[in-house]
Amino acid sequence: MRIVAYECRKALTSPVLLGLAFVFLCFNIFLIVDRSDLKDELKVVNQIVASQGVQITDESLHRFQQHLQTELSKLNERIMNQANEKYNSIHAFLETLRHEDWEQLSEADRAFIAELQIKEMHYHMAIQMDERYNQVDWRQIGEGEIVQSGLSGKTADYFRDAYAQLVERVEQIKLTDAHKTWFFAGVYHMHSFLFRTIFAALIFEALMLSVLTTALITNYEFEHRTHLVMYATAEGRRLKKDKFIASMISAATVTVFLIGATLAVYFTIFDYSHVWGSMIGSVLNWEYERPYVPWRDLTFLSFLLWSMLLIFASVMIFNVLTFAVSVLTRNNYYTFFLMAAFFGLLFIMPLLMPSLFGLKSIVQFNLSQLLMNPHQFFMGNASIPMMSKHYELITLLVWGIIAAALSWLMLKMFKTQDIH
Amino acid sequence: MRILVNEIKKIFNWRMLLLLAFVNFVLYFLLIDFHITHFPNGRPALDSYRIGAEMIETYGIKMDETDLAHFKRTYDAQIDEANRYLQAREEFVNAGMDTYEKFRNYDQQNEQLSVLHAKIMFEEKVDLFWELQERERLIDFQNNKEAILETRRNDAENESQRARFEQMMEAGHYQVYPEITFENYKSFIRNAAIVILVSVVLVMSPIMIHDRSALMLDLQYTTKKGRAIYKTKIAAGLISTWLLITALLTIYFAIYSFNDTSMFFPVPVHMFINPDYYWYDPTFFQYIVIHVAAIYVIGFIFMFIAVIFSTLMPNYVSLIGIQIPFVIGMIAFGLPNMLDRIIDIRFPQWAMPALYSLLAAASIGLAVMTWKREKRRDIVM
Repeated sequence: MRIVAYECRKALTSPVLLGLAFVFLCFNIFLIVDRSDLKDELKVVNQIVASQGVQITDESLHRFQQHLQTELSKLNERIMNQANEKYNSIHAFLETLRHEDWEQLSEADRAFIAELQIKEMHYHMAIQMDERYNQVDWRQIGEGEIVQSGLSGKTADYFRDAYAQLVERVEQIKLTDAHKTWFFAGVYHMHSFLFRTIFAALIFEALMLSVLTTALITNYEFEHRTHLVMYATAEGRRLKKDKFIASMISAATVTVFLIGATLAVYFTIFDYSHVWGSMIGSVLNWEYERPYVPWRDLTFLSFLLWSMLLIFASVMIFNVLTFAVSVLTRNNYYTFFLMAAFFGLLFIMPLLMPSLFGLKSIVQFNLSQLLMNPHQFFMGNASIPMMSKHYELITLLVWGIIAAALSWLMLKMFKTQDIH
Repeated sequence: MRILVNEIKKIFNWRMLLLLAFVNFVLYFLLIDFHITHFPNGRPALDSYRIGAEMIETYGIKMDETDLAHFKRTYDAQIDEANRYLQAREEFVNAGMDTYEKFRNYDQQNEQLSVLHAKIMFEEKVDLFWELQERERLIDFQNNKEAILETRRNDAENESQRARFEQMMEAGHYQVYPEITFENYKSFIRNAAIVILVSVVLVMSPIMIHDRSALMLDLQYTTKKGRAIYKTKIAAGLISTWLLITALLTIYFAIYSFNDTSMFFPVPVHMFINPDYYWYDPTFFQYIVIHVAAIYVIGFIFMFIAVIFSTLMPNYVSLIGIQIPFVIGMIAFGLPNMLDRIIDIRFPQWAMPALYSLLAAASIGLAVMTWKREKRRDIVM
């Protein structure tokens, strides 16, 4: 056990790795702060949820509308009392508002108007998006996707079946109203920002750091010319196993630290206090052409936790692969670039495969395709292969087994290998 | 001399060459392939490319008023042709879509007309109609060419920019040629530069650390040649970097030549429809030469950075780790400015040459300092 701790210390006290983690963290914070102008608007949405409850029901919509009306009458009294006009929506008011008048308004009035505008937008979105949600024809979208991907025969049937399941899933969502919750409107792109921009950065950073820590620990003896001492006996060779455990612990530490610190900053700046329980497939969380349709009812919080777990598991599997490669190459330099190129190779696999037997779709069940689309985790509205219901599970299992088998093989090989 | 050759051989050892090939293979498909296989990318990109080539053939590298009039006459002739085409087809006449004017401004709510419109554009993909659409766009630009440049002049941020815009107006440097090949080239070179940058860092980083971690320095520094071998290694690095960049540029430009854009090379860059304006008036070909030179300079700067860190870092992991921010920073912020905007009017005229000189001077200066340190370093621990 003490050896494992010492091995961990080699990586976790390396000034360059610590520095790199710090630089990465600074970059993430920069990304977050860069968008922080939205934070006040998001607070208004939290207010809505706080007063109306997270579920969108006819009753709460009605209540919300009444609330908007009272606010509007306040506006009419406060600001427009000199004019005789009465507005029935803030939108209409803003349309007729002249720039000079806006300049004359007090700071409090402007804030009041801005807040009301956001509330009104969310009210209208909740109604409109629900209507649009019912109009999306997933069967037709599925057919279109299948034609576009050039699928035929059994693979096409497989995905046709997947889309049929999706249609069922959407029906189920509509029955249970699982999509009718308040969330930040899609125009803010908060889902993409967190789960695509921030998570993609986190994934790359975690992968780089984990590859570097694992390579450092695994090949430390070779690099520092102590291998002849350490690996001279059968007992000594067992050190490799300790190194494996140490590299897993170090990579996990680094990953957890990066994700934890970044998200801590994120949730300090952006207020999510009342939307943790909102559904990730909320109609308001509709950013692009299609709404997000998760295969299971996931709240924002559970989606966040599951995504983090998925990323953590993927990084760990990648780390096991790195271990196998670094035992094989015995050279940290080659290990790093091989792993980087390997990650890229997995990503371009669909491009390299001929469009036979659905090969293009099958090879998309890989770690790098999985990790490059973190905003689409557990979603049924993803592009063709990722829309398979168990895409994440299958990918993790397959690659977990491959990585574990390779590492086991390498460890076994290393026991009897010529080390000079 | 023999040592120099051997040092170069050490840099390009077969394992490194294999890794280099693998990395380049992956990066090619990740970054460059799209701009080669998908050029021109669908319609109307293809028509834009064809019309551009035709314009160069007919009007050469300067388009004066008679040329513009000729271009409009070609457009009118094609409209007549389109009218005849539509009138010859019964279904279009029956639907009341018998002239190009009606075809163009068809009622999008009307399902029958939409189907007919889509039939020509997307099913049959009739060249004539796609070309007309593109010619229209070009004529729009040609009609507004003075106005566009004037707006730019009025929005100029400072005196020297204004002077440059005025100079362009006087010389009649208007944007009239389709931009598709130029844009495609810019995407290509930006990505090729990334691949070359990564390749240089990949091949050069072990240059000093390799011998040191193999405990070779004890032997090398006690020979007659002694620490001068450090300078030989730098020389080997310079030659290898030059070889590497030249080889990769040759390969990638050879691949680029499949795009078949050479007829655009004599056209001055200010003639392409483009939101960017430049301090100088190079031709497309000269612009490529500028980029090639810039890539060499950036490559050598990163070679010197690799030499410095290779000397200072205790192990390979630190060596890679410390260079990651530099490489990512260069790819994300450096290259987009230092290549695309190397003669862009948005920066002061002196800014880019100054930036290149500064980076080059800093990297060489620091390399000299590490060499000085190496000369005095105690190698017996």
